[in-house]
Amino acid sequence: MKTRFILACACVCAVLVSAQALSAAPKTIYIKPFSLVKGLPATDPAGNLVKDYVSEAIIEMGGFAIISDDEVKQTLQQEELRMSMDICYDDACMKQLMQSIQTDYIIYGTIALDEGRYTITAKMLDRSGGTVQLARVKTLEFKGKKRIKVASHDLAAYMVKEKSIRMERYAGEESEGDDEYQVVVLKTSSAVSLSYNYFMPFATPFKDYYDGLNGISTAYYRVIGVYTSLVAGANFLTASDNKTGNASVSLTSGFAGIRLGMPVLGILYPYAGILAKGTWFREKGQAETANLLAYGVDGFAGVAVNVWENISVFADFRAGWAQAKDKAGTSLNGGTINIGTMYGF
Amino acid sequence: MKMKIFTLMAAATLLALGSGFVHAELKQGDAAPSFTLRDTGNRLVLSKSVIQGKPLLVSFYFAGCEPCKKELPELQKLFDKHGSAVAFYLVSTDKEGADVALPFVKNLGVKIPVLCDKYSDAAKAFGVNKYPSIFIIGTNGALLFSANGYHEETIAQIDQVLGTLH
Repeated sequence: MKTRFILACACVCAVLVSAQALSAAPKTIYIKPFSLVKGLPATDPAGNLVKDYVSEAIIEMGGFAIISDDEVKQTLQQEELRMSMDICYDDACMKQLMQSIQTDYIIYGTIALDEGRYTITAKMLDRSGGTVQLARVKTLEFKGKKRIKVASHDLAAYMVKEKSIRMERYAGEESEGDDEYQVVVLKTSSAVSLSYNYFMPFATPFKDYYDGLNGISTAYYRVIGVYTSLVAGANFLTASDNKTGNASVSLTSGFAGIRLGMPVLGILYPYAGILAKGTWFREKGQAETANLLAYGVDGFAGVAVNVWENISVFADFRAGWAQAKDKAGTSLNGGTINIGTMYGF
Repeated sequence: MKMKIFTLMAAATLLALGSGFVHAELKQGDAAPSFTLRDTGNRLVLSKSVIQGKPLLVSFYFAGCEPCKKELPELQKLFDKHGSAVAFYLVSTDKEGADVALPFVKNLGVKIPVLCDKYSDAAKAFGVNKYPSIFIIGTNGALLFSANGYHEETIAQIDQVLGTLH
């Protein structure tokens, strides 16, 4: 037993060490301060702000070594290049800069302010294929200084991960929902969850036989708006006996629906929603096995708390209605306590 | 006959034109090209900064290069002998960068610092077309020695040149 344990530990260590050894060296990227082109005084920090926000997002995404401004200035100085960072904004100059600082990627662009509307244009040059190529260009227009952060993060995700940008978040006036880093499902376009479920039957005969069923649930969330997500998933609940004797019972459900929520105080996300579900009830006794199929609806309400970067924890209560397709129309109505964690990506 | 002469002249002209696209070979005493490359830890290394302190030896290689496998352990011996007086750098032209460049030299037991020339910027500047290619640059930026391919006598010559730089 001891030998097996040591062997298992050794295997795990070997896998971890080899995974570390195989991890690729990060690509280098330089994010140039964005040039101020219109409506912003030369002293305005907006250009550096965009650079900082883009850098912040890229660091969070990982996989890149970001080249600092200091390193670039020092290199240009030592190389005695006459190229000035302030006047270097066209593609030709960027190509020369990429060679001088030996970077795989460079992100640069402009920010302008016209009649209260900001316009940020970002470009990314990619040298990783051997020749310098314009990899991506994107322009975002919006009202409100507060949105610069969200826009920069979106641009960074689009540039390096080709993540689509939800343009509706830039429509209209600045609002509370513009704060990107509130709850995990708001700052990413997708999320998955894993949770513990406790189901209590509401109706006879089910509640006469069972106090409750325990199980797990998993779900996928697709954010379709600041307040709205689509949800789909499955849960599996079980109990080892009923009140009348030995029988194992399981309740397996698939569900899909919609979830509405609103960020509060930066880290809280109260939500509510509705799910359509299909349920398979199975009871296996000593003498016979019963199977019931049911369709129904769940209404739910709860709250999520963002605990760390892309991770949140949540708890909600689901009130469910479901009627089996048997002659008696057996009711599988019940309430479910759902407590779990969610990872956004 | 006229046709042959014409063909020969045309070929000579094409060769002459073609040679314009090839980097002129660096000769002893020429100003060596300067380069900026990243080491395997992603730190920038500027040749101009290096030669301000010490003469510089650079050897271009790529992973899997057979003559390099013979040359690199010999260079390691020279590094052990002259490394305090001369800056040694191996320059890998592997497109994959450090992931490929470093294991190759480590497997040969070589501990000379490696620079990654993923885009062959430095190799082009030095006109490298054979591997390995070695260049020794003086503190004044002039090329002191260059050689390519692996030959035992070349190692002896390098040892001799490096000996004069102490």
